[in-house]
Amino acid sequence: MKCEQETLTNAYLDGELDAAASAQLETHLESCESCRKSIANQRAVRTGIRDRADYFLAPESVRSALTHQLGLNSRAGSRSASTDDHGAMRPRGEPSTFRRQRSPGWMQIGALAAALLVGWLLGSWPNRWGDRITDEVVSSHVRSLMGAGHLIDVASSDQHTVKPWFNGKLDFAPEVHDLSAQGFPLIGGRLDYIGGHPAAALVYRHKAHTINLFIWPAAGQVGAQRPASTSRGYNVTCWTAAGMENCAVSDMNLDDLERFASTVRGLEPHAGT
Amino acid sequence: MPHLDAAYNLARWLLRSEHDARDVVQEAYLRALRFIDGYRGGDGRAWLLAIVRNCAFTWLKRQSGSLERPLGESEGGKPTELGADPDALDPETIAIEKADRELWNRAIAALPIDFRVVLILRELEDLSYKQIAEITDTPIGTVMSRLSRARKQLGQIVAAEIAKGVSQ
Repeated sequence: MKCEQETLTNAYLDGELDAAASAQLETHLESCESCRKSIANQRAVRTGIRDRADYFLAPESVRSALTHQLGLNSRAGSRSASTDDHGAMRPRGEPSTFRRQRSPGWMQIGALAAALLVGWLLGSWPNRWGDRITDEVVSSHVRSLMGAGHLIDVASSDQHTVKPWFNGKLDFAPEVHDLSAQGFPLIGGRLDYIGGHPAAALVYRHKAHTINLFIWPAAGQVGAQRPASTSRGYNVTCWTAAGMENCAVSDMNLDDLERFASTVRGLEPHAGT
Repeated sequence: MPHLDAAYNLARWLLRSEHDARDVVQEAYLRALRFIDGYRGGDGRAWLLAIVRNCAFTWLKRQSGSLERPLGESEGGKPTELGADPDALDPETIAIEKADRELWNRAIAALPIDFRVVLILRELEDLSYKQIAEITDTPIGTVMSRLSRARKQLGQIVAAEIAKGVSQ
């Protein structure tokens, strides 16, 4: 038996229906067993593919071949033959291959290539304050994911290791929570620099996605949550709480990022203020 | 190199070959650089993945003379290769999500290419229907129906494989 609404159940599950259509479908679900079953099946498929399907990381040879071909690395030599040269699958929940050994020459060239590519691929530079911060955190996020930068200084899934690590490195103490139970395991932290201030960058993972959460002392106006924005293909959501600016950045969808943000907000000492 | 993993993952799933995926990703980035003028700002990842997808399709066409036609392309076509009544296999009650990695990967790779594209973009890249529509150059309605059929077919393949394994 097939119900005409069945296709809509997918959109419902994916959060693609507007509020009115969602409510309508929910009413329909109460009376349609076929659609309820369909949703249960889709959920099972979605969980299966998200948990079990391979996510193929680009082999290092592709990265270096591209840099060569784009004419940015004509003589630098030392193509670092890396360990994951066979399209290795990303081991879930592990920091993976972000810290590769590279010679300084390679790193400079890499940084140059990266800067150029980020520039051309990712477009224009907005100018308002919020946009400038958004830009900075996105740039920092992108840099942290490229071989030229680094993702983490302290690798640990233990909040009690990461939090003290910032002691003496920052003039504030960021809140650090492991969110594994909520689906966002903490994988480490590093120092960063946002909006002219030293900032703590906490790194979380969600499925194949990396999330950078930047925290630094709020200057002047203590605003509430600002609307999320998309910059250059990355989603960013920022809020102020307990005297700290917080910005979460990731390439995962906005729904999941908002869920991450509200999870973090829920754990802050003065949640809701 | 921005979005390189996303680009490679998509190419690897579409071509089902490590070697071809490397070549296609390189071609896609070079093409992206050449046609950078056509980039109008906005979603860089979607723009790039559209190029990767086009390169992959061109590559497959060049190789085989014609693209493999997705099984579900003829509207209403039931996936009959299972040799079972699809309604009899209830993916949920068979607990398909517990099936092993290898089985899942094999089942996804067995899907028609148009189904694979939407499924990879939606489930592994977490893209919205609108972004997927842009990348695949199809209306949102088509994305929705392909995704619906892709999930259904995938669930049935996995359920059938599990059932086969149990009965053997």
